[in-house]
Amino acid sequence: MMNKKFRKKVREALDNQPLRTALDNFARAYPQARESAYKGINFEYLREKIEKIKTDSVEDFENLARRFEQKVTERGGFFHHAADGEDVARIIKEIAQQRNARLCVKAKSMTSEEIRLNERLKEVLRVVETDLGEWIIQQIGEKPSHMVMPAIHLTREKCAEIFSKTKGFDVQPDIPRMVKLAREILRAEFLKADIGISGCNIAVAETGTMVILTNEGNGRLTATLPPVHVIVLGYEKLVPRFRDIGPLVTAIPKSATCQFLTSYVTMISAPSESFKSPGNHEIVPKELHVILLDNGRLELLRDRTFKTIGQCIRCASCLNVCPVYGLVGGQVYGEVYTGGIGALLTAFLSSPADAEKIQELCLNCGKCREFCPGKINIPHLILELRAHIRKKIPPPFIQRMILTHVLPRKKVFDLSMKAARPGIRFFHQFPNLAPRSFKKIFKNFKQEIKEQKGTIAFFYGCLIDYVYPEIGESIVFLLNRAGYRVDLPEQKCCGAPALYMGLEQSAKKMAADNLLHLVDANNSCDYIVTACPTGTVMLKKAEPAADKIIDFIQLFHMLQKEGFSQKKVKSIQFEKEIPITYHYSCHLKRDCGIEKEPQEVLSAIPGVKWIDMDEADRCCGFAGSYSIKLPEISSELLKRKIQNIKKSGAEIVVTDCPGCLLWLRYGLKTVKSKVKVYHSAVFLANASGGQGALFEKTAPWTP
Amino acid sequence: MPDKEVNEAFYRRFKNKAEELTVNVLRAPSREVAASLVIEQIKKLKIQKVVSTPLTLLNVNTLENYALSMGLDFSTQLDRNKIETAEIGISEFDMGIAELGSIFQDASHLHTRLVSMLPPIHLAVLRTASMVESFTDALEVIEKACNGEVPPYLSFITGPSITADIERELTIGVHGPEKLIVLCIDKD
Repeated sequence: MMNKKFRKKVREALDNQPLRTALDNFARAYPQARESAYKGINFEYLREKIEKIKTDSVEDFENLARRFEQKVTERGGFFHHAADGEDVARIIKEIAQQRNARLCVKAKSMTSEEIRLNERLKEVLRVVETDLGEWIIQQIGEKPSHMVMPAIHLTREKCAEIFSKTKGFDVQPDIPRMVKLAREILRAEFLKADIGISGCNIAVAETGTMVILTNEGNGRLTATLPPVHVIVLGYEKLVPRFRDIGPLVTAIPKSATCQFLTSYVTMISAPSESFKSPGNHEIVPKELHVILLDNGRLELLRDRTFKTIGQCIRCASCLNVCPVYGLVGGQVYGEVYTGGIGALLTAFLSSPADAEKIQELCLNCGKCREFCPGKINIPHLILELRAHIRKKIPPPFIQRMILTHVLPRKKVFDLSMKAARPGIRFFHQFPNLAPRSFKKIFKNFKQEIKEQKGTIAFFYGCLIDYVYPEIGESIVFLLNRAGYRVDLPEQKCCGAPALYMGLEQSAKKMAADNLLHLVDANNSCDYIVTACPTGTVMLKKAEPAADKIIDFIQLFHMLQKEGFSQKKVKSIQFEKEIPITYHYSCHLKRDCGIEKEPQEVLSAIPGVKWIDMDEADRCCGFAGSYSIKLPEISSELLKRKIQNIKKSGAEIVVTDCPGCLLWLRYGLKTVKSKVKVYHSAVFLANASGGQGALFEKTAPWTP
Repeated sequence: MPDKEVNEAFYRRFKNKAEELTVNVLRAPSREVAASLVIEQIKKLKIQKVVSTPLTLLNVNTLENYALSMGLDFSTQLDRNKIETAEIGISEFDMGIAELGSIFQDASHLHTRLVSMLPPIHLAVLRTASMVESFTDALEVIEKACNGEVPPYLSFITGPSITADIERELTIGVHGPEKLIVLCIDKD
């Protein structure tokens, strides 16, 4: 779990100012720059094409590999299979020995980083990285911090230091000068090199074509000047047809570096002409070696659940939009592959133990899934991985006890919440528990319904029950006004805490316990309403056929369309126009697909001035148990959200997730802000002129 | 490679896209004008040493004579040292891609590759009529032309060599050329 060493790394990354600035600048610039690159292109349509190509490839990868090998060999290339890094090194050492080769130039290849190729070759060959970023970090023995921009974590001053050390004279932090210097240094190496090693972005089975995308020109020189060219690639690079190159090359540069196309796209389909050696300029066919690497890929591509990871086109979009990666960068992940996809790749290409900590970094906010050209469901796979890992490495005792013995047992949970009331104060970010739980309040609630239209079952969830019963009260009030009686079915914890901790079995069991009552409700009621989107997601998972499950704001929006109007109740007139903004919870927007409903419902209220805040759908950082697991990251994310709220000028923030509500209130309290946060149900109930105790507690204005 | 009429819309789009990337796009109505445009560039950039592949789209003789008369070093030899020390390399391309400002060549010949890669300035020559609209179109053309046996080495070039590896600041001119000039010839 989160051990001291790992948390120290996280802390160090958060305290590293130049790193924070570099990552922040990049993360802020990326969305707009990417949009410009994709202008005129239907991304959804494009990625459907890519998904089809890649899923076909994954299904048929062994056949593709066979055809690819055949084609490469037919055209005069030498084909090798490598089980792992040791194998690759052995193959290259043999090639080197046969020609008495000493110097190797290398174009950027994540696959070669993965197997630590340079280290393995170092007694036999001097390997020089030629990608500028890779060359720079090679001088200081560091690993790349990003899949596409390996040295993004280094300032120009640090780079100047590195250049100075290498050249033995003082180099100024002047970027164009440093780049010119790199050109000189590396040109000399290119001209002397015996072997060129590269990876490739795409490998076509039909024609034996290997596609390499670069910007600097080092890929071309690596492939052209030395008499030997070795291309190392993993099975997941394979695609069936030559024309499949099109959609992939359309997406990779746009998603990775926001370019329309990289400066160079090189397609190698057979050995071409070459000089015999650096010193001998007789023209001979190039010695082209293609090494197809396993190193865990066969297991990955054969795994029923995880094979979709093979759809990755290595564009790094997921890193580029990940709120956590944007805070701590790649080196915290400690491995070669970083970000959401990094945790998954590490589990297979390295080991589950190596992936154990880095997968914990995932908030499961779902942002990456929106941008992945391969349409990989990264958050879902990370939860699967977490469950997989937790089977072997269980979470700490207390957590396990709470998740498996307290939460699933209603009476025990209830009692412990009563007992915990004073103790909850210990976690200062958490509010006090309500004096009476929602289900207790509901028992004495008199539902006032004129002309009853039907019944709605309410699955309220733990936060509403124990902390925010006013949300429950507001919902009953509003649904009554709309003509529906509200029923409370038998229910217990939805299982989310267990699921997100990787305790799959416990989560499944809790879902199963709710299932019966869920199915009953689905059969007997008109709707099943929830007011916590995490709960919505869990219930839908438990019973996908329960089609009546609907989140409150979506239901309210629908009822309004059907004619339920707030004009039917006495509306409170605001003294002045109140600026209001909205925070989209991750589950609400990205899992439930609820996007326009909040704005349509809220801005229709007279006196409301709707404001779109920046990054309104960016994770607030709560993410349930994450805020206890990695509070340092949760608070940084909260800081950013609070900044955006302040910038918007809103006086009230409305949200539809009790978890976000809790966290935002904590954040605003910390900066002594006067901005109030309300669940949409509470806000709407107030605006409908509801009466009773809940308004004394929560009314932000006087009628 | 496509043998058709000049598509003015494609050319305009190509020129706009390429110029956004600092590419210098020139156009000549004929072989003769093409050669004189090259000479103009050599003069303007104060170049002393020129290497070129055996050009067919314009009159190499004109260039050779000019070089001779001005005492410039002009070579069409496959000589690595000469190419490495040249200031400009001139090579021919097979296609242009309008929507990207990209140029494409079958670079299977070593000479072609070296001339296009090593010198700091690269002057690429192509037929204006060889423009296609998109990358996908270009792939289709290649597929049709090569009948399953794709030539050993194909190059798509879009602008000069660049990097943003240090602090994400864009720098032009890394290992490949720092300046790309594209000369489009209408009639060759």
